[in-house]
Amino acid sequence: MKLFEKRKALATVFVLLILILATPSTLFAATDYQKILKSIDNLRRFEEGDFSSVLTMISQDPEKGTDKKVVRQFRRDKDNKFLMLIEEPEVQKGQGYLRVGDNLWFYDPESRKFSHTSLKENFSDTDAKNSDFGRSSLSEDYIVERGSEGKLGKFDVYILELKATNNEVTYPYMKVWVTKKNYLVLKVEEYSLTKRLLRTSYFPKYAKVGSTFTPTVMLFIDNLVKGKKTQITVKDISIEKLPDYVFTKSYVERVNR
Amino acid sequence: MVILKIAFRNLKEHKSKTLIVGSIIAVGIMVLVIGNSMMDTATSGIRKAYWDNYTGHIIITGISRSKVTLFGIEGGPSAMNETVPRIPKYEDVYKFVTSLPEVDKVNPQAYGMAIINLSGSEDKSEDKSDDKRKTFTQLFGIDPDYYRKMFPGNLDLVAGRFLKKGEGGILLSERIAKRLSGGDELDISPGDKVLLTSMNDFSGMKIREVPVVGIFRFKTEDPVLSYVSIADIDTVRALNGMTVTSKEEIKLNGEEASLLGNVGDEELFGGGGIVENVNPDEGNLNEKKLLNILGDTSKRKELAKTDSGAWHFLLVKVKNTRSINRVIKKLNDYFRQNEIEARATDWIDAAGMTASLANNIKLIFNIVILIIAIVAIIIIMNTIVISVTERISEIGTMRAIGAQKSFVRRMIMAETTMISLVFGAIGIVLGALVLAFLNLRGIPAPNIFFEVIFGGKVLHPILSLSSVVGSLVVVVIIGVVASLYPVAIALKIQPVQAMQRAA
Repeated sequence: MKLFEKRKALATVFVLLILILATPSTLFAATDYQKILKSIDNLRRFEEGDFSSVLTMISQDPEKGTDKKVVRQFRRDKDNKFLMLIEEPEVQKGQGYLRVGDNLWFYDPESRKFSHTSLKENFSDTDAKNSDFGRSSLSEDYIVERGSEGKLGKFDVYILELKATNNEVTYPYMKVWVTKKNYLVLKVEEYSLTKRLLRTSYFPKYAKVGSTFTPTVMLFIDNLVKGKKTQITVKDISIEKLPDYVFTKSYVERVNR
Repeated sequence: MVILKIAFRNLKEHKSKTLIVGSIIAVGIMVLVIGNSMMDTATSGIRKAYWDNYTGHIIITGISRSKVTLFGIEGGPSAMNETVPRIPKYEDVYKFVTSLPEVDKVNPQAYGMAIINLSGSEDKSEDKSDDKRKTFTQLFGIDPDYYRKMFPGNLDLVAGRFLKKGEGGILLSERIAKRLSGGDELDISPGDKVLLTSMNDFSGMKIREVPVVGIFRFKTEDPVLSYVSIADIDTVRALNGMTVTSKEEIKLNGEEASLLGNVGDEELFGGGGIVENVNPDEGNLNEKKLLNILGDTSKRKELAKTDSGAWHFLLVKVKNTRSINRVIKKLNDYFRQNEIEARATDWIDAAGMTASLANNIKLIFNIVILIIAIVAIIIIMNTIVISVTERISEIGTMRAIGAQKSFVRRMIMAETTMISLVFGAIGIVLGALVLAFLNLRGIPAPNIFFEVIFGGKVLHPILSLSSVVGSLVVVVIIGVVASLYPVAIALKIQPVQAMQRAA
């Protein structure tokens, strides 16, 4: 009888052991890709301090020709704030996009008026979206529906198929190619709710600033209008602490005086 | 005469067949008359409404790859990317148009679209939920003097007054005003200010604050028009970036545009390292630099100055509508000779979707009628064939006693023509009666779709001459075509065989 009970106890332990070993492995497979998403965000965020840079945006449009914009970018990722100030062309100088949390305002210096706008809108008349310039929040806004491994050019990559968890995001579905080695996003395909490909984004160059990686060359291709695309080159990167007033409406008005 | 007598006798002899064929023709023609009259009434209603109130008789626009209408560019996704072209050399075009003796009035206009919200709501609330009272409006940019002369009384003012010359402001469409009020009760009144936000490819995103001068509704109840507000031309020009200066030539360095050629995954990621270590700039963003980050902004004002000669459309009313096509030709010849990239066209192009919708529905209706006509022809043909076969011995005997083939042919033709004309006429009369009834009663549009087609909420159809003439032509064609095969059968009958059969 004792022997039987001992065996029973052993069997229970054995079964439990198997369960313990088996469960995390399946869980691990599911959470793995979500973890990668989190890593992407962490790598791209300047959580400690502020970030500023100068962006040159060249847009090509089959109808409207080529357009150039130079934009000053200020970011404070920890408070979810940014300010984009257009420096060129001269006629748009001083137009600004100020994000504070969930609010995004556009400022027109000519009429001295602010107007609410959306992160889903295009930045000025480029192929970049306003949401492209804030802190990275993939892991907050998306879940990985499917993950696989593959190659992109010479790089070994994970290919993550993402589905949005809320309606606030610009694209409901995305496919992201991210390097296995250091979780750098190389390419993103962005889809509509009906899974129509709307835009393809490429990030072929990164700068390592401290422990953070930030793309220095970006290419956005409009998949609805053939030949419409925008290249963004990032220069004059700084992680100096910025005064709080930079992320206020009054600063935007003041620099335009 | 003899032929007609014989034909009439034959028809009388075969009463049931005559009635079958006749009823098909009568009903078909009745449907044709009613349908086409309704379509014609609707089209001429829309045409008159547009002529008198929105488009004039002729519209002059700049040239674009897609269709330019008063409501912007129409077409597929690529058209969304196009902007309405300005009329080049506007002063010259204006002078030429007004010098034409046929021209009565002109009205220059521009199109725009903007997000609209009540001014002040952006400052009062830090919460974006206030965006609920934000909507979209189409804009007609006008010069009040020209507009009122061209379209007197095309709108009813619900509140306020019309724009004055040189005044900046907006006349809100009632629908837009209700949307901004967040319900059916209007809580906007003249004097309130609204913000208009729009995007253009020259000066980027633009915001304009303008006072609401009045709230109106167009007299014609067309859902397409209910989204149109009327603003002073300068506001629309500023929102559209219709400025004196145009885009400067852009000089690019290789690096800035290195990826704009045809690049694929291999070209972008075929190389090695993509990460470079960057030593961030330090000490550059001091307070002084931050406050003077834009430098001198004085040039901006000069560049953003709107062009007082920039218009999208010149709408023309002629003295006599019969001269419309002649004037259009004169204008297009003038543009060609003077190498002006402009185009004159009629109201259908200007009215865009509404007019083409009505025209397309008429086309679909006629295609359906054509199919029904083919079926009718087959039925009629069969009935006549049966009647001819029944009369083989009779026709054979006629041939034997000397009737020529042409006599037989004419006889059968006369029969079918007689049926067609008599019953066709009955159909037209029936159609006219039904139309008279519908005209008195009126046909209410069941939904917005039909409101667009009817050009209003109720349609009072009128018998149209073109539908009567058209129906008569169809009747004759049906008669002739339907008798061809029976005639061929009748002519094959050999007198000897026919008489043997009779025996």
